[in-house]
Amino acid sequence: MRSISSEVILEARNLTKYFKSTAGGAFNRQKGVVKAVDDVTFEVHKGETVGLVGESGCGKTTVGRTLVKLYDPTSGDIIFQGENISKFNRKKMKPLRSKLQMIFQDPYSSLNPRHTVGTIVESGFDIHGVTPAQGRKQAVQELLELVGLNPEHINRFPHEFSGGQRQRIGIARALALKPSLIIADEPVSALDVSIQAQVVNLLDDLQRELGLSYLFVAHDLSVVQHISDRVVVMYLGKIMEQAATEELFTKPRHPYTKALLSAVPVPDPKVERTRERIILKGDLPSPMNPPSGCVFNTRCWKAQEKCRVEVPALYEISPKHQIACHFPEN
Amino acid sequence: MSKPSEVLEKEPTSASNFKDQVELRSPKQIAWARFKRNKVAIASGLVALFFVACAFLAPVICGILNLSPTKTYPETLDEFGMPIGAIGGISAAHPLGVEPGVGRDLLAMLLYGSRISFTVALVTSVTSIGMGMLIGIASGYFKGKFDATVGRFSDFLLAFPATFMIVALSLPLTQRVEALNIAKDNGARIVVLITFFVFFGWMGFARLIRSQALSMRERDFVMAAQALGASNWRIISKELLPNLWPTAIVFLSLSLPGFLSAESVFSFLGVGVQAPASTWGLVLADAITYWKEVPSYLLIPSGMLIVVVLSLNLLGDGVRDALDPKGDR
Repeated sequence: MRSISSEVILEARNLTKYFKSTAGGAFNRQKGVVKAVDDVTFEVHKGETVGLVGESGCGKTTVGRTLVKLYDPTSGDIIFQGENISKFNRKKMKPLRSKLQMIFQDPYSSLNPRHTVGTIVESGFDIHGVTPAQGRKQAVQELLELVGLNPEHINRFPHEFSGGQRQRIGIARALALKPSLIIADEPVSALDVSIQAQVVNLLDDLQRELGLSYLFVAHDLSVVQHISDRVVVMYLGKIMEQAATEELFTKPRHPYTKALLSAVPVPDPKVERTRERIILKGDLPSPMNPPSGCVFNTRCWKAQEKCRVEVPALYEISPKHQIACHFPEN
Repeated sequence: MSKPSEVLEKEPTSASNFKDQVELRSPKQIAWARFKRNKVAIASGLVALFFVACAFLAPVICGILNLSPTKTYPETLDEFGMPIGAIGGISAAHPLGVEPGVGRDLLAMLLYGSRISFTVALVTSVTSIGMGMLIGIASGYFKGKFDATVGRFSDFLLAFPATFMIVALSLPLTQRVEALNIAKDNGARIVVLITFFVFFGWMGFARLIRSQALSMRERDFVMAAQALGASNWRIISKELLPNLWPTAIVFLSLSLPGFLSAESVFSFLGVGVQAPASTWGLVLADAITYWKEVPSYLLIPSGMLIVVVLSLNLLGDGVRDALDPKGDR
């Protein structure tokens, strides 16, 4: 059994990431600011899997990339293992990188086509100049075995593998330096459903075996429900709701979460025919020009004047269940 | 639950037996193994190597055959200045015949000429491709102000009438090079020619590489390397470069013969190397006047040029295929 300790491994505090949108050309004048992540606060405990969900363009990938400092946050703090890394530069970040790893969405572009599997998995050792006790080659082969690949395939190139196998190579690369937290950026959304299950189960097994914590970014709610202990729902760069998986899927309190969950098909034709679906009107507003007040007010069926004026703060509606809404569901 | 360190460092069990059979090979070793299997590439590599060796060993070969590139052999020419004997005066003493008009030995001329021709072509190709690579990667990877500045400068150079510049400026520049005691006569002219070729030759390749680096840096594997803590230098050398080499090799195998003939053109125009030194370009330019009377004088050097260019192209193709992970298997 895996255990979730109360120890916080990663904490995002008022994390904000704005991208400058420029017109290009010789003078590169600034057109506007894309508020990809706006004042996001949440934490990941040791041994826990936190699911980060939301529709395309809501900033969930940006959250993941900012947390591993692939992007510098515009403001806010990232506290990783007790250290505030938000202002760390590349050099200061380097020793921490081995503890904080990332798995990427597209297994076709996340592996360098000109490197062998051995070189790819070995690259972590190479960058950090470490040689494991059993030697690099042995360590690489053990990692391949750990993720369910044939250790004899170290000299093969990525194109000789299927999508699921490639994703396993990516996972082996992330595991090489024995991280304590892995940020998985939609690790299964590019894979077939049958392969998705394999990779999700692999991640589950690895967590049990190695005591990893995950931040699992995804838009597939059934996958998130399966793997996560806690779920954070994002919309247009802001957190709408966060709660334990069980609680969130059975008793969603935010209208957006409710709409999101109603979009999950039920594998029972009778229920599927009669169940009530909430169809949101309109499109996702542009993050360059987000609506005033609650960002969801343009598509919310409960929106009132207050929602258009006042930004709802994230508050605890019941123990360990936070939402940002003026008029929560029951 | 076990700790991660225990799992990763545990003693290998039954799996350790077959693991020793596979050796961890670098992509370079794999490419070399693949190259060795390509017979055409090996053959063309040997041919290219042969010509380069001949150029390098020109004094030795001429010494053995007792020939000199500057000495004339008037006894081999008839009263009209045409070589005596069949096929341009080929004989045991002059294996490729003699030069019509003056009477120098063709083999010696071509051997010594290839030294200059190859040097110019090789130095210019490698330098301009190296410059293009450096500038292209820098502007594609770092983008921003550097890219904008260098991009406009290369546009400026591309819009420049380079050929006229070379013709107009080569004489004063050659004099300047001589005054600075860098080189004399033909040496100075070669230095000026190479400088010009490189100065006006790097932009096309730099642009090609820039566009590739731009698209490559956005790929997830670059981000993965960053997430592992790789430095910019490592990302450029280990992640980007292996993807850019094939382009460079194809470009090199195309630009080598290009510069080989460019050198000939400028020697022909009187800007490059001057007699009594000879280059393949000069020989060909001279041969055009005699092509009806002594066709072998034109055919032998041009045949050699074709063989060299062809073998370089095939060699380039072979190296590119060897570097391509999808090459065979």
